[in-house]
Amino acid sequence: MYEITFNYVYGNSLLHRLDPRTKLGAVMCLSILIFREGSFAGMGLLIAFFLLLTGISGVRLSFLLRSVRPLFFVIIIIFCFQLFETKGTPIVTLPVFTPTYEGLRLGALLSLRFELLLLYATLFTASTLPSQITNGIERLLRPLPLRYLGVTSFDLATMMSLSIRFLPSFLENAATIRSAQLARGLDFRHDLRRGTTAIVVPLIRRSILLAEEVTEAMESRCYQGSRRTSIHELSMQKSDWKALFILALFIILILTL
Amino acid sequence: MGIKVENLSYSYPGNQKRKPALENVSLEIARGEFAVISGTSGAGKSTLIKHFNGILTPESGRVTVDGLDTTSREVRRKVGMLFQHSQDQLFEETIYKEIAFGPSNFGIRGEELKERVHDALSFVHLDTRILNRSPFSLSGGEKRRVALAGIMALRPTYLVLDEPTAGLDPESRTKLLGRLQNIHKKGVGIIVVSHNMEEILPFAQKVISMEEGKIVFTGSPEEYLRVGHSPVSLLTRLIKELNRKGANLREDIFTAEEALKELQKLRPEKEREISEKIDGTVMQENV
Repeated sequence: MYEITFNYVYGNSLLHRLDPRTKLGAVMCLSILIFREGSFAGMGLLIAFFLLLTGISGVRLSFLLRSVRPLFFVIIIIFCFQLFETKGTPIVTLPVFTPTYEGLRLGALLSLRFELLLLYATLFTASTLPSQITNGIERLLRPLPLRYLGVTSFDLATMMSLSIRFLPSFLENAATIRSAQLARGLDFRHDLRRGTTAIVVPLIRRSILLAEEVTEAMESRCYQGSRRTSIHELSMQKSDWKALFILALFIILILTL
Repeated sequence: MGIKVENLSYSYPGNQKRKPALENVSLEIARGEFAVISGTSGAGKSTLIKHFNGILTPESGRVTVDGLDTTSREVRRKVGMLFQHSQDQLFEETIYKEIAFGPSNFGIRGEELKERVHDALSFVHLDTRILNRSPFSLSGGEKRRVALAGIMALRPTYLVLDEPTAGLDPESRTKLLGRLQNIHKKGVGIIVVSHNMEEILPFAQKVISMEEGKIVFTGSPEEYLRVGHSPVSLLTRLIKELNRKGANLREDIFTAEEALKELQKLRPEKEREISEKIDGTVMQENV
């Protein structure tokens, strides 16, 4: 009943086929670029680049915009805060809050930044399966000497993919428990605190028990947490190197701007 | 009066493109009736019963309980519902609070609340001494009994149970079914979702069979057996096998007493004839 694909959009575009490591690296670099960019010209370029990538991916722009809509409210608050709280030349003089030109500029930049960050991240998850992301992260972490901390990149990858797998059953449990408590006359509007307890306590209990069951099932199938091989071992293709090269050019372009 | 479902259709949100979970379902369960809803997993049984107390509301069609629309809060109190894995719904600090949760949500306080909790507890044969213990200190079976007590404390007019005997040991099953029979005698309507027709048929007055979101059969248990819906009980299989060997017995039987009466018809000459035939086949098979 519950399927979690986050917001993956099935496709076979160049962006879908790229190695998850390439995409992860690109998202990180682009995020840093977005944060250090202080000019509207640079922002314009970043937006253009985003539109180009969206075009390549074949994902509809409206889909991406829709998935960042829930955070739109927060972004508006950030914008208003900057607009009214920055000192400088007033646009109009109002009694309590005075909007300033400096504020307008800062607010526009900041909200653009957040919006772009979210959009790039959404484009990444729209073109990469959660399991691929996990794979990519695992492979990137592998050279790190994590075993001195008592974990390996494989443990981390297993943990990540297990959590993702768990979400559907978690949601299903939540729905069942909610129904059960509603049947006992629970009324959220009446008492929110009690209502939350009535759902959260059994849900956490059930989840821990479920985790215990999964652990036992894994152990009885001889899971030892040692190095595991993957059926789809990642390997960088020519297109990956090309993509990284183009990305490097773009970064240089932005930096020299 | 009773639970009335008219042309009910329902699809889960975000799933509109797929087949609906319920398609044009109509049925009526009278007040005080003992009904069984059967069907394979995914047939829409659980979706259907969630409409009885308004946890789900119809996409199209209408569901009423004693003439009340299921959006009314009163329906939640009238229709007590025990879900699968009911042992997982407990959350309060003490068993007393756990059982009192339902009635107190409907504004019952003081002496009456206390009385209801004690009644419900004795109904499931648990000792009042445990009332101050944590529900998490109980065994799985006891937790389920507390959950049932929590519903009974609502004093519902209808009691709906989703797979109540799943995962119980045979002794607890018999006890639970006995309890259901007792409440039924007191005039409470019982609606049970079950795969295990063999154990539930002797109690049922009405059988509703579902397939892929539609009702494929409604009728008495006798009719249900005559029509030959699976799964058939061991008893029915025996009678059908005997009939195949030449006996002429009623096939709509599901209690041991009736079966005995019917089997006595075979005496004496027919019985010998058939048993020889059976022995013959057994011998042949052994060879």
